[in-house]
Amino acid sequence: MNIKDGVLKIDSSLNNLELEKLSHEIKNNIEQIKEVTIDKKSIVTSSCLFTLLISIKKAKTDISIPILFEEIDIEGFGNVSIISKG
Amino acid sequence: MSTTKDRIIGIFIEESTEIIQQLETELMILEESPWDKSIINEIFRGVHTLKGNANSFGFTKLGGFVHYFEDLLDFYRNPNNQLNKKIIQLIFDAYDVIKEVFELERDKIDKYPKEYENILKQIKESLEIDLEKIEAKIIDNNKIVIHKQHFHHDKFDKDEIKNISKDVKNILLDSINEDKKIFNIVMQFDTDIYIRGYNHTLFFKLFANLGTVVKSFWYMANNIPELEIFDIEKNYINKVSVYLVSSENIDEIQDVFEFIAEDNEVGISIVDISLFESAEDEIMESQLIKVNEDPIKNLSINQSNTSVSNSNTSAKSIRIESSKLDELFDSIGELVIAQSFIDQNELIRSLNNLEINQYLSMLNKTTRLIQNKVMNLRMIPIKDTFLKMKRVARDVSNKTNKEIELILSGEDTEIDKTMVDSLGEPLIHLIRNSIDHGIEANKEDRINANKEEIGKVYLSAMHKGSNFIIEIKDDGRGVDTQKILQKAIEKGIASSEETYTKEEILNFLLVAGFSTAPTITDISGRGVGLDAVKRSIESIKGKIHIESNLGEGTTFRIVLPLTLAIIDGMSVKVKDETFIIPTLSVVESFRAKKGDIQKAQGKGEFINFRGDILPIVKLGELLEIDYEPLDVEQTTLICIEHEKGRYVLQVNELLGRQQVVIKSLSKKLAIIKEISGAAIMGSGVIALILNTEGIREWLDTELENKKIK
Repeated sequence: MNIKDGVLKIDSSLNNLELEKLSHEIKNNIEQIKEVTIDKKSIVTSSCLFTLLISIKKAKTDISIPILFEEIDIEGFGNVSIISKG
Repeated sequence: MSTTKDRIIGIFIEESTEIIQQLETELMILEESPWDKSIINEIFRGVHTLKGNANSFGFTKLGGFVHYFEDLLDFYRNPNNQLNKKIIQLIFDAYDVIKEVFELERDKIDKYPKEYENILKQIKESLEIDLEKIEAKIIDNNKIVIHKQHFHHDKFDKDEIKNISKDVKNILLDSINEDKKIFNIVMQFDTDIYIRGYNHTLFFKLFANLGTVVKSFWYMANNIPELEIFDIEKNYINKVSVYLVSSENIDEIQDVFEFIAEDNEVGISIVDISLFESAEDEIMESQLIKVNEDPIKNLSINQSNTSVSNSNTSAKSIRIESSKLDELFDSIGELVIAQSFIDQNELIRSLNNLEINQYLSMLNKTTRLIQNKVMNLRMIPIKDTFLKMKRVARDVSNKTNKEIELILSGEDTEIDKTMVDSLGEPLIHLIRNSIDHGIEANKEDRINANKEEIGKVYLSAMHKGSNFIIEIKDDGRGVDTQKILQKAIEKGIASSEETYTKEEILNFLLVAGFSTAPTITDISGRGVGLDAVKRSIESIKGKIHIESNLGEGTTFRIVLPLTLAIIDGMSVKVKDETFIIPTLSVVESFRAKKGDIQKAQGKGEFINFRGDILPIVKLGELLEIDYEPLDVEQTTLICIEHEKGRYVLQVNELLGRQQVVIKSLSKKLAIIKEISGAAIMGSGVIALILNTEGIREWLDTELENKKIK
C-alpha cells in the first residue's frame, strides 16, 4: 500500500482479489489516510475499483477522493464521471 | 478449500445444467406449438446464454456446437420460416448432443459424442451454410456477430447530454466532422457479473479496438457496503453510460456484447447531433454532477431525483444453496420442538394465566406459520419433471411404433425439491413400461378391443391429505394376473399351494428379477426395472401400488410424503418407550378379541383380520424391551401394509397421530434395520421411527427359520 504524506495512491491495474486485499490494508490504516488518488500509469483492470472508492469514503467521510467529485480523464474510459448518491 | 475460480466454474456448471434442463422442457412445448415464435425465442435465449458461458469457461466443444445450433434456431425465429417435423427432430437430436457434450466437458472427458459431427453436418446442411463464411465471422475468441434483436431497447438518456462538459462536448462534435458517429452504449449488468467472470473494463478494452471512448458516466448503487464488508463478488455499479466515437457501424459495436447480451442488459444508440446543439444553452458547468460537495452526505437529498435504475437491487428472486435451506429447515425443526416443550410444560400449564395462555397461543400460531413458510420454500411444482416425461413418451413411441398421447394433469402440484431428483428415473421407467408393455402392440389390436387408435397414457399429480400422489395410468392391455402368478411360481417367488389376492399377485411385478417380457428390449423388460422403481420410491419414504384390469389398462400409484423432513406418524407406546409408525404404512389399528388369535406351533401367533390370517409381531420382543408381556387381547394391534403381505404390530398403547420432524440416527444406530430415524416429541421424549420394511424383513427371516426347523 502506497501512502505518502497522507495520500494513498491506488494502482489502477489492481484486480478484484488485489482490491479486496487492499481494502483490508486501508481499513487497518485508515487514520493515516487523508486523500485517495488513482495511479493512472496503467489502464483500470476492474470496475470494482470505483466501488472501493465509495466504500473508503463511507468508512471515513473526511477523506478527500477527488475522482468522486470531479471529472477525471482515464485512459480507455474517456472523461469519467462517477455518480454516487450513497 | 475451493478457490474463487472453482466456485465460478461451479456456478457456470450449475447455471448451464439448469439451462439444459429447461431447454428439454421448452422443446416439448415447441413440438406441440411449432408455430409459436415466443417459444423458439425462449429456447434461443437459453442457447445463446449457454454459448456465451461455454466459450468463456473453455467448454469449446459445447460452444462450437451450440454456435451452429443457435444459427439454426435464429433462422426459425423469423416469422417467415416455419418449423417442420424434420427440423423439430433435428432440434431434438441437437439437444441430445448438447446435453452429452456438456456432461463430457464437465467431467473433463476429452471426447465428442457419437452423433456430434453427424448432427452438426445436418444443421449446416439444413441452413445451407457456407462453412467458410461462418468461420470468417468467428474472430479469435470465438465471437460471432450478435443478433440485432438483443439491442432493440433504447436506453439513451437525452438529459444526460446536459451533464457533459463543454470541452468534452466539443470533442464529440468534432468527431462528427471526421465522418464518425457517436454511439451511446448503456450497460446495466447484474450484480453477479464478477462471479460470472465479467468486468465492465473488459468491454472498454474491446471499445478501444473500435474507436475512442470520450465520456463515461458510472452510476453507482446506493447500497455499497462500508470498508469492513467490502465485497469483490458483487457488482455495485447500476449503470455505465459510454460515449464512443467510431467510424464502425452498429453491428460491430454489438459484437462486443456477444457473450453477455441479454434483454435489458445493454442498449446501443447512435446519438443525434442536434441534441447537443439544443442542449448547448442549457449546459451549466456546475450541473455536471451535482455531488461536488460530498456524494455521501447528499444521499438522502438526491435519492428522489436520481434517474439511476435500481433494477439490480430489486430482483424478484435470489439463488440460495439448498444446503442453506436445509439448515434453515433444521433450525425451524428445533424451534417447533422448543415450542412444544413450552406448550407441554407442566409448570407453565399450572399457572393457568389467561395472558400467558394468549401469548403461548400466539407463539404456537407464529411457529406453525414460520414452519409452513419454510416448508414452502422447498416446494416446487412437479411440472418440469412431468414435461420431461413427454420427451420419454415421444422417444418410446417412435421406437415402438406405437402412437401415444401422454396426458398430463396436476403439473402445478408442489413437491419437496429434494424428492424431485429421485422421482425422475422411476417415472421414466414407468412411462416406458406403460407404453412398451401396457399399450397394445398395434392399432388393429386396439380397434378390436373397441379402443381409440391412439394409446393414452395419463400422468397426474395431486395432494391427498398429507401425501403427494402420482399416477401413471394407461388404457392398454392390462395385466394378466394368471400369467403373473404362473411366472412367480416358476421363479420360486410364489408357492403353488397358497392363494393370493389380485393385489398380491400384481406386487410380484415389483420383486427383483421378475419379468414377463418375452423379449428383452432396450426400452424395458430386463426384469430389474420395476424392482429398482420400488427401491427408488422407498428411498424417499414412498410406496408404489399397482391396479390393473385385463383389457382395460394398468395404473401405477406412487404415494409419497409431502416432505422428507417431516413425517406423518402414529405414536405408540411399549412399556415406557414411544415409537412412531409412518402413517403411510398403516392400514388400521384395532383391538383383538380372544377368538381371533391363533397360535401355530413354533411359528408364533397369527390373527384373523377381515378374513386374512396375518402374523403378529410383538414390538416389545422384537426390540428386546424389558417389559411384562400382555395378552394380545389387552393390547392394541396395528395392521401394516406391505407388498409381501400385511402383518400386525402389537403395541401396548396407541397415543395418537401427529407430524414429527425426522432426526437421522448416528452411524451405530443406523445399522438397525427396524428403525429408520428418531423424533423429539413435544414432551421432550425421544421416539424412534419404525421402519416397516425392516420389520417385514425380520419377520420373513423368522418365519423362514421356523419353517426350516
